[in-house]
Amino acid sequence: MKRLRDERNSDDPTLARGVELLNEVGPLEETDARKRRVRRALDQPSSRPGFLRPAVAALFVLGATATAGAAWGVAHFIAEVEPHASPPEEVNQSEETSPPGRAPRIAKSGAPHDPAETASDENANAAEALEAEVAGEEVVRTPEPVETRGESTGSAPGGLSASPPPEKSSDRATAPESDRRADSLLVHEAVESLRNSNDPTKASRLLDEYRKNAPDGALAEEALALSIEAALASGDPKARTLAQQYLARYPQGRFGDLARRALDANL
Amino acid sequence: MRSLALAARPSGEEAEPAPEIQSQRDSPHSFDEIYEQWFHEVCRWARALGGLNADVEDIAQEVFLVVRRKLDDFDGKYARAWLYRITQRKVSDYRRRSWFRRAVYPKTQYFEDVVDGRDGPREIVARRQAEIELGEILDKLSKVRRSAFILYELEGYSGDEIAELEGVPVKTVYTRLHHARKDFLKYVEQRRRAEEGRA
Repeated sequence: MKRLRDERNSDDPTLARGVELLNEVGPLEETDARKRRVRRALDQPSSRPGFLRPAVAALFVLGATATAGAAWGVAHFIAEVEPHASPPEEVNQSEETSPPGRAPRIAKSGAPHDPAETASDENANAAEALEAEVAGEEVVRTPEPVETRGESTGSAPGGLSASPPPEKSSDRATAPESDRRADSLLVHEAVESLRNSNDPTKASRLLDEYRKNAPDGALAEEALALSIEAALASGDPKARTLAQQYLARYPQGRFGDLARRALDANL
Repeated sequence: MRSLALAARPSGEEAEPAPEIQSQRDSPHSFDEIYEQWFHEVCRWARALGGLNADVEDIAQEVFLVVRRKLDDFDGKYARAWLYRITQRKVSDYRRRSWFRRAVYPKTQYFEDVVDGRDGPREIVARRQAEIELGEILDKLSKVRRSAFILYELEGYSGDEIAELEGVPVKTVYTRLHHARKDFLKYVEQRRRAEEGRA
């Protein structure tokens, strides 16, 4: 059975793309560095094996949940014994009309207040948030409930200003994955611009965008190195600055030679 | 052709055990020998069984932790099959908890760091993009088809070798490969059309 990788000169674009992908990826390279890394990890008596890491993280999550639960219980207890507790609809009242026990935090931010009262408020807010989450409502986590609920109260005390409405929780959950994909496509397009279109200016622009969107992205190091390459290709003196950035951020980086070449280049 | 079993240690060596940890003294092979001989192979299996995006190093580490622990029970025969079974179990564990791993380690590296200094950033990015795309396509294949496909098409194993590893007839391997190839091309076609639609 002939291997797909050995198919040559196929007229079928799908087959050609599949063959291209297989040849681009190829077999797993045998690197001594990987072998040494794993061996080092195995020989470290204090190191936790990988399979324990999720267990440790699970314990952490359980601990955090228990703490939140305790806070919720305390908040409920305080709410029950607090004689002046306001109903939720009074949260939006202004500073002058709010009862002292349940005034919105925004109204207090500019004035001295009793720390115990603040703690009580925070617990109550946490309790409200938890209750809202349990009820399936969207939880507004900004500390300024007056503003985020869209009521026009003017400029808030303490220099706080209105902020855009927060993303829905479902958006927060899905955004990073799609963003990551879109960002990595920028790098891919930049490579195409450098390799096929010979357009380093466009490549620079795309890479700048990627580095702005994903400064710690999976391709951050490659994007910075490509930016250096693009700047060198277009004779842009920015190559030196980028090279300095690269060497500062990745002193042992795999593209150190490229960065040092850029520093030595006459631009 | 890769050797299918480790040769038995000569009996003379048993009289003079190597100065290793106690648990390995009576074993026919030391941990070091097995690690040196099989590490890269285990990594290839980990990638084939777990998919291109699997964390090969983590899996290999867990495999060799088991090897170290179970070395006393290993009779020295069929090392390849023994190691392959351990890798299968560890990859299975890995995939089961992958949702948790993604939640806890969102920045887990997707790719193997296989840079050896020869490639420039363009080549690395191109390969990483291809790895992402191929990984996403292969993740849609069933487990047995995916592993057969990766071992055959990417790692260069023969049908006979895969059959021995999997413990199935060669004919079964080729059937899996046939279906895997059809699935693979179907998903490549889907992606290609989707890209053309976006362009």
